[in-house]
Amino acid sequence: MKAMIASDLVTMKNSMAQLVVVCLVVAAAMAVMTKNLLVCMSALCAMVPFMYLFTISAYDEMNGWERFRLTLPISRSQVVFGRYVGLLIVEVLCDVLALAFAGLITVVIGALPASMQMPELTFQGNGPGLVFGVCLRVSALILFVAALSLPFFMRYGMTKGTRLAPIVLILLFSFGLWAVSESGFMNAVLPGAWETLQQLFSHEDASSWVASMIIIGVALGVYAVSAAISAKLYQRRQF
Amino acid sequence: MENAIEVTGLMKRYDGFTLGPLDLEVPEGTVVGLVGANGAGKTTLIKCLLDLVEPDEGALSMLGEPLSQGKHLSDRAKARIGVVLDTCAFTQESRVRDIAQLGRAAYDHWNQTRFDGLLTAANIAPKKRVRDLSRGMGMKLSLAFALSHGPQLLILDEATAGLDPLARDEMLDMLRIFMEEEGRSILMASHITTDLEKLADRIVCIDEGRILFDLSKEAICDEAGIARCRASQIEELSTAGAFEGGAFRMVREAYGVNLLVPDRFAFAKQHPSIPVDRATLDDYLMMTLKGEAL
Repeated sequence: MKAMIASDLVTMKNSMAQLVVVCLVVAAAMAVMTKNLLVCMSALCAMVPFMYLFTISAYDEMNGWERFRLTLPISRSQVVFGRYVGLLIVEVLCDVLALAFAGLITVVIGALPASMQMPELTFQGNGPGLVFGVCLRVSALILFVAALSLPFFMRYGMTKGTRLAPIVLILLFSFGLWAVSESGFMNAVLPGAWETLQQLFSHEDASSWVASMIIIGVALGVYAVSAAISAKLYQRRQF
Repeated sequence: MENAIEVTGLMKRYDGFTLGPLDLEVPEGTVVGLVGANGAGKTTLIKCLLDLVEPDEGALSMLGEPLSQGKHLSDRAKARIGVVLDTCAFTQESRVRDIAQLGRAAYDHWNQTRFDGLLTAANIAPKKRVRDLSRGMGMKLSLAFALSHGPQLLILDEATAGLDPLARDEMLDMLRIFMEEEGRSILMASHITTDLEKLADRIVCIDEGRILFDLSKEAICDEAGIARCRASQIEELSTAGAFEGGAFRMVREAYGVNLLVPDRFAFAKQHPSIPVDRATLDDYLMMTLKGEAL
């Protein structure tokens, strides 16, 4: 699996450098325009891994790379698990990058004159629960998207997979919206549950931390199940 | 002598095309050329050998490792096989030195000195991006990659297609050097029959998914010949029973008939009035695929 992770990271090395620079510029612009630290951190946590997922999957199909890679001493299950672990590594690195970026903004703003202070763009203005929580929650979102997309990419390839994966994502999103709506089953089965969840995610307290940990735990679980399914699908794929 | 590749009764069915059943052997220390028209099944056969597609029937063994249904080729076996496909498969954004990093990560026996040497010989700068390489350079990079982990078996699928004669010659030289060590083998699918004439020990021709012939290069390029006959001579030869028990093929031309004869020396001895030329692999292939069986 080490070889597959190295293969993905080596393959993406040059594109990743460009992606990170672009995303840092976008995040800086978002920070200035929205005056919201959490928004630009979310962008950093989401954009790079999301683009990594699609770019690396697209590279697979270029010049028969995916086919050639299977002639290297890398088993099919190593290809799949390596891809999942590679994305996870990128996600963790982007979380670290987002925190470092937020730290840098906090330092820069702290050095500005009192009249130009913007506490909403600093760690102090947001609190550690929200700052770390946003990284975890956005990471969870990316892991959910990857968990739903990767089995299609692994089974059908990027070209066909991108036609199928969005359908599933939209269906699940629609189902989720319906489930939490007034007429949805969540309200009927657990009245007030949605409001409680919203509260959990919008306040900096112990329960918000717990909620963030729960959601990342669930996302990792779904991600692991998705990896196992992808491995099964990839074993049977014909090239 | 052991077989590097051994295939028995291999079949792979697709909608509108079936490969096989076919048998193939690539003994250690030999170069086997695989020829045939486009769509004949050469690439499908190679995909089966490389475990990229699963055969529907038949037995297959690579470097002594049997490949049974539902089981994939082991990493150990794959580490002893070098592969060059018809395009430079490395991602376009990668630099040549990144490819070496990939080789180090994938192969336990990666030889960086050999890789660097092959790149220098091919005049490929390590900092160049794959997308900036010409087709010839890209294919040489692919071959350098395939040769730098000490493989026992090379599988090449149209590796020299689209290259200029000079680049092709350089690639053939690399392959000749590879074959200098004992026990190494090459299976090489190519449309460029002159390359196979220079390198191959045996030629296997596939047509419509079946093996049409499997002969030593000498049997094709030395023993076989093209007899330049008049139409009346064909009738005489037929009446005399000259075509019995031989793989004779005939192609009618504007001013005569070309006849493929399996043994040009015997034919010339028996029919001294008919001129017989040495057959090239291209002639043999054309006559076998397009000629009328006698």
